[in-house]
Amino acid sequence: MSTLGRINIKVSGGCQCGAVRFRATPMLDNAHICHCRMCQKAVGNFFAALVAAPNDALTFTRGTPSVFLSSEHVQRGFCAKCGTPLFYKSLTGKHTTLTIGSLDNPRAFPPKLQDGVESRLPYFASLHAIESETTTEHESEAWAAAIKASSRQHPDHDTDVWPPKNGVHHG
Amino acid sequence: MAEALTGGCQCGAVRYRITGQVGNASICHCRMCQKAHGAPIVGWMNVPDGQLEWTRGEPATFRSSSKAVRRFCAACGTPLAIRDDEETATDVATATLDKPERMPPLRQYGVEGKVSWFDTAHALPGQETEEITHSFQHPDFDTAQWPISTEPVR
Repeated sequence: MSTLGRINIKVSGGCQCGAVRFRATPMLDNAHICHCRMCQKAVGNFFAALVAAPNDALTFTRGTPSVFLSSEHVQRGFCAKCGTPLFYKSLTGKHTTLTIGSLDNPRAFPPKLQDGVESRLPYFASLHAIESETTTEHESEAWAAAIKASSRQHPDHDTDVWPPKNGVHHG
Repeated sequence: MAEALTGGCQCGAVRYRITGQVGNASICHCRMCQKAHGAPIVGWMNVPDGQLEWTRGEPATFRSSSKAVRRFCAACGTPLAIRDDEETATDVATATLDKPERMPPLRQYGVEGKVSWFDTAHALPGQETEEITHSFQHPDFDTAQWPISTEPVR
């Protein structure tokens, strides 16, 4: 097995509600998407997007993730309060594979590979071409504004205090 | 009448059944869906009230805004559904179906959150999964008992 390259980048991230937050640096240069049926079920999506951090480079800065042993040697981490899938971790490995969607900057890790293609859904390749709304703000302005004003989602950066006093985050 | 749609979470603590005609399937790129699933997009299908039954367990709830409540399995975390307070339907995460291939998405929403690489991800080089040893994932069909045993399910 080849040694994975490292990317000298600082990342932060966490779950939707903010009960679990983490930081990592450096990251491994292995961003990929995985179509396998186990990843599909774990994240409730057609595929997972993943990038790993060495175990000694990852710190949970707020809260502790819950874990589900999805197979004999693999833990999947999630937030017990809001459910966000956070990571995949081989009990015998040296790194923790984080869900890219849980990162504060999910755009920082374009995937280079598709794994688990035996379970790739037949419509995956054409998803980008299906009919599209413009933005939520454009199509449903009032609804988007109401969501934004009352969102309980943690903002995409670390915070000193959680949860905020009024229960609403303004990122 | 179409065959009922069944599905559930990864560990099988929560299972559901959908009957009758369901609404359009879609994908959403919005930042809230991304965080809820830890994923770049989420595939949804719209299920009118009265057609979704939780047949095993009951999903936990997280109110992600004043408008909507998200549902997930408290035992394994799988995000399962979202319900807008003002709608008479629940959106169920398509990939949690036992046969997600039955519900191809027809429309994209929330494109303000779209990741730059989404349109070309299908063209990336591919490889198959290495062997999974002793999965504890619930199989893709209803089971009479859960867990089937303390041993892995396959």
